[in-house]
Amino acid sequence: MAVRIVVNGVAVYYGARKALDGVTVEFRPGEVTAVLGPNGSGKTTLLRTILKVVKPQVGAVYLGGRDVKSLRESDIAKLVGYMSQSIDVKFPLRVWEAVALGRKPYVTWSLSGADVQMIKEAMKLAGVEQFADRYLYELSGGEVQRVMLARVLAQRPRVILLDEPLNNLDPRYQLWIIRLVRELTKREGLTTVAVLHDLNMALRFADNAVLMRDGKIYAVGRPQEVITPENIEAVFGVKAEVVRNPVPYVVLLETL
Amino acid sequence: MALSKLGRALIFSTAALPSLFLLSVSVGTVHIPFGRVLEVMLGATEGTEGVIVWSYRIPRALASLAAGAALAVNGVVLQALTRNPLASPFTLGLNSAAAFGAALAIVLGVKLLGVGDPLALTAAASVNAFVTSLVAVAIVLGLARLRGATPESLILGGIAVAYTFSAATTFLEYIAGETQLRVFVLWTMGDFVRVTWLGVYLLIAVFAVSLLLALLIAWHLNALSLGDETAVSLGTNPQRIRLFGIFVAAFSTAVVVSQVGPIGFICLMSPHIARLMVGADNRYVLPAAAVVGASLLTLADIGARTLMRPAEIPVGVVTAAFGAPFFLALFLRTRRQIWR
Repeated sequence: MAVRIVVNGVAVYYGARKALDGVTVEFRPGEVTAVLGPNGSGKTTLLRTILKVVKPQVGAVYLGGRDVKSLRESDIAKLVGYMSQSIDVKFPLRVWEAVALGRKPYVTWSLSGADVQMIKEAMKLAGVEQFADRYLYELSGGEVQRVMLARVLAQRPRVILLDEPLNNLDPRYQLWIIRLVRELTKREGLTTVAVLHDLNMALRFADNAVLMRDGKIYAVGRPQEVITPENIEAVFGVKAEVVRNPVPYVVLLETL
Repeated sequence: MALSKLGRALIFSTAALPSLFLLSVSVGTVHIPFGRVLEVMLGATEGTEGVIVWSYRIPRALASLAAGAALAVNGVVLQALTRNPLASPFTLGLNSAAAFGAALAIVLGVKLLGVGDPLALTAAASVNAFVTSLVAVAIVLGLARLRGATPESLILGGIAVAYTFSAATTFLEYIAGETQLRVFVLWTMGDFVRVTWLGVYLLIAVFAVSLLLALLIAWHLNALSLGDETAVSLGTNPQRIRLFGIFVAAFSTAVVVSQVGPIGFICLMSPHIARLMVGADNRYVLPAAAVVGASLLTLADIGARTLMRPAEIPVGVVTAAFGAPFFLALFLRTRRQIWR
């Protein structure tokens, strides 16, 4: 089942501050969309509205044609997997237990054999099977990040929302994780939205890019059309060059 | 893997409970040997030993088991809901509120329920403590509804409630006569002497209901450990679960405190010991903590009756005096982190 996300004229206020201001955008199945923009431009809030953690004061979000307002948390959980920016677990949780939480939307009390199988597969995909019995606090930041991705995969969602998924990862795992996410998106027809800070990763691995500034959408399109020296300068305040050699590559020159 | 360890831990602890129960019935000012305890329990009710066993020792042993188990379960729930390993029902100001209620009865003779009833002083103190605890819970839940039921709003609301009631209680202590002050101080230390059979039934019922309701939200409690947003993405409504869980845990704690006084440490300590035994999955932590809490409080009560025999010391003194160093030792000895 392919799930298209439609965000229609959404505005979100935190007190007097406008976090999102008339945002209209669409995310299609089978595509990875990179959400780009400076800190505080509304990227995370955009993900939160799709997840119904934040309810927009104006406008609506549709998941597969249904208004998220009308969906229960448990219904959304069967559609959407979400990986937050950071995780801070205060209790001695084992890797295996953390990934098993991905099955929570489907279980009432015990995990079935099929659930256990999915948990194992997800751990294997994210490359954390060798840590299964370790505690989360024993792992490095990047390893925890991969455990959280495994949890999302165990959930078998149709939509994947990733908030800075490459944080804390070394170059090898950055490449591995983004390739894995892209491959799954294509193979399973997932709708993937990833907040990224690395413009080059977005250029290489995203099908679309959404560039945000001050809670508004500044540009949408193919990554090559969106990630241009002019846009980078206007949105980030950084002088940049895009080299084609032969794939496009962003070189950040200096702040303005 | 974890399961066999879990099985062993649970079998071991459940086997420990009947032994502790027997020991608790056997020891005290009058020592009754195990064999005699069993005879009395099997129907040989004649004589003073029958009276002691059935009217004092058994209610007392059952009360300490049920109260300890309930406090431990409520501790697990509160720690999971506030995502804070240092939280307990008392973090919500329940003990301060209960103490204020008791002080109202003991110092001013105010009976919050059943005005004009010929309630004994301690019974009035129990009822008052229950009522004021519920007032504290209502305030904390009200604040949480106004400001959003986040861990921070719950803990800050609880601290505010605790200080307000403490201030009022301190004032009552200041104006209290010497005898009243002594009665009140004893009340705050907690003991099982005042427990009646009715109280025992109440404690058992409240423990069973709170364990059952907590188990119903065990997966939600697990999900909350990853943070509110991740919990939402797993189908949990953090606000709703928090309001529900706090209500259950606080109500149950209020009943326990009204029956046996504000006994500390059990609700804070038992969840951690349970996690050392079975890991962090609340489906297992809840029953394990119940067993741990029941055992610890019963042990503490046995200690309270035997350490200075023939005199008795308040059980609250024992839980604090032995609980704190024991907890510290446990914390220092295990390689594994209890929290991070």
